[in-house]
Amino acid sequence: MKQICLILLTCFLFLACSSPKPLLPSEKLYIWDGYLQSSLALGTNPSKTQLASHLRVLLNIIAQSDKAHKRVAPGIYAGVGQLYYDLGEQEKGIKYFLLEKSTYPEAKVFIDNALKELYPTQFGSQDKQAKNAKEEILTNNTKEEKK
Amino acid sequence: MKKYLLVLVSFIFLACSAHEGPKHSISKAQLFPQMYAQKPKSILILPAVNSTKSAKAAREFSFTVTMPLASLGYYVFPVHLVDAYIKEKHLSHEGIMKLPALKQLKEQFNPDAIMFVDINQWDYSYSVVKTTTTVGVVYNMIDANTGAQLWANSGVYDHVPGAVIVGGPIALAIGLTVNTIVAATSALTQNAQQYMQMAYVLNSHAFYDLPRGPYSKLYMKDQNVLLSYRDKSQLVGDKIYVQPYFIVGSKIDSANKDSLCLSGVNSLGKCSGLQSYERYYREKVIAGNKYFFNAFFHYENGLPYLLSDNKKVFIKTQPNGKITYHVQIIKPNEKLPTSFIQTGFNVMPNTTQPRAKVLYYFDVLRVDNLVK
Repeated sequence: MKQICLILLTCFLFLACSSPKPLLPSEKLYIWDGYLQSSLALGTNPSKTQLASHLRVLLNIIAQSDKAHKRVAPGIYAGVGQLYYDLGEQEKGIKYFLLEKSTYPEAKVFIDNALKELYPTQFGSQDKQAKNAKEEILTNNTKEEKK
Repeated sequence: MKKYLLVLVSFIFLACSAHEGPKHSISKAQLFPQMYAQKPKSILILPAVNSTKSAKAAREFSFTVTMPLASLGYYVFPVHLVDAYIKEKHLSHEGIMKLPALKQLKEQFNPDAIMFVDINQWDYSYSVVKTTTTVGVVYNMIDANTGAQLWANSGVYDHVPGAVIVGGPIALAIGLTVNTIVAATSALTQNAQQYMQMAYVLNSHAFYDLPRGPYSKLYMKDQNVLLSYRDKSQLVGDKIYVQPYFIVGSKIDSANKDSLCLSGVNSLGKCSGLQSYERYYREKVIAGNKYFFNAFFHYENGLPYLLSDNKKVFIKTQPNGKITYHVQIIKPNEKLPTSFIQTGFNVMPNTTQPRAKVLYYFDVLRVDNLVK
């Protein structure tokens, strides 16, 4: 009881001083459903399973945005691309990088460079291909774990 | 429980008393002249420079910065991809800070603006009286073509159980220039999550006032939007007097609950040496230019200023760029030179004699009147 009173008092005092305002602008440009929470859950050293779960959140943001006929927020497509690459699914990854570029022409120079430097597909070194293959196995293992 | 209530009430008192000065307003065009002149559309946020002891700070921070900035209507380059790319290309922070690197960044990313973020506090301090989690960030945005400063901001966010305080010029639109209580949070438990959530709140506030970007309907239509503020400082001749927490931070002196602590709080909750001004104060060299930050200043072309009485009051800096503050002791029978800057500080706490008061001020460089 004492605690409830204290909480009520606290709320009252807060309201008395400053009217709370939203943290994001009222004009809602983008859908970010679950982005922050999912990022928070990733922590510092995310496992493959955590990355896959973050990927699902980002894919859902894209689906929700499409459904609402809204532009997908900056960096979401690129984030999906990067996650697919990290999870060993290069072809899907590249598709999303290209979507970032076509949605936001500002990103063209950088995405082209990033693909060249970070994710060379046709001309990738053997080391990278080997690494990707290994990651694919890991991902498959993760999938099996879930089953 | 009683202690909690007292601390809480003290915080509320401080937050409320910060609203004492006269109310004025400033237009976005006056507050962000460079943003409207250069019209940046895309912003490259470089991986944060982490000058804290926490190795994880930069990575945890990176998740919290895109959402509040992109929501204004700017294209924000994908921070994690930028991070990976910069690592792959072995671009060091020291290297990026130098002018030739700007050309390289322009070629490889093609941004209109580049934002440098410096995390200077990502700390957890514990004492018998209370635990405090602090996140402190300095933001600096420059034109990617010229290197000229477009915008700067800085803030410190203290989280103590029961109250959250954000300090800094941060966001006028949310009605805060200093020490506004944002929310009473009790749900913050896990450490990394707490820091990230705090960083998100800090970023949201820091970007809130910025002109809307090209993907917003308000793009180039919000120049005349007025942001109101209350005077937190008072211009008297060539001195600008500031509220004490400006210099000494917002620590509570547990031994003397109705006042701020003149300095930091040691492990016993007692005041200890003057250190808070340094705590809120940072300097930074970017693209050959030196910038200085105190959480409470606004900045224009690298020069610190305070908003007071419909004026931009620019502050004198030393040749090395440091901003020096002055202490003025007002004897008990002397008249205060200021009308709304009050101090309750007793110079000698354990005396029944009438108390001398302490005022803090900066030297004024020049004053720009804001034409209505």
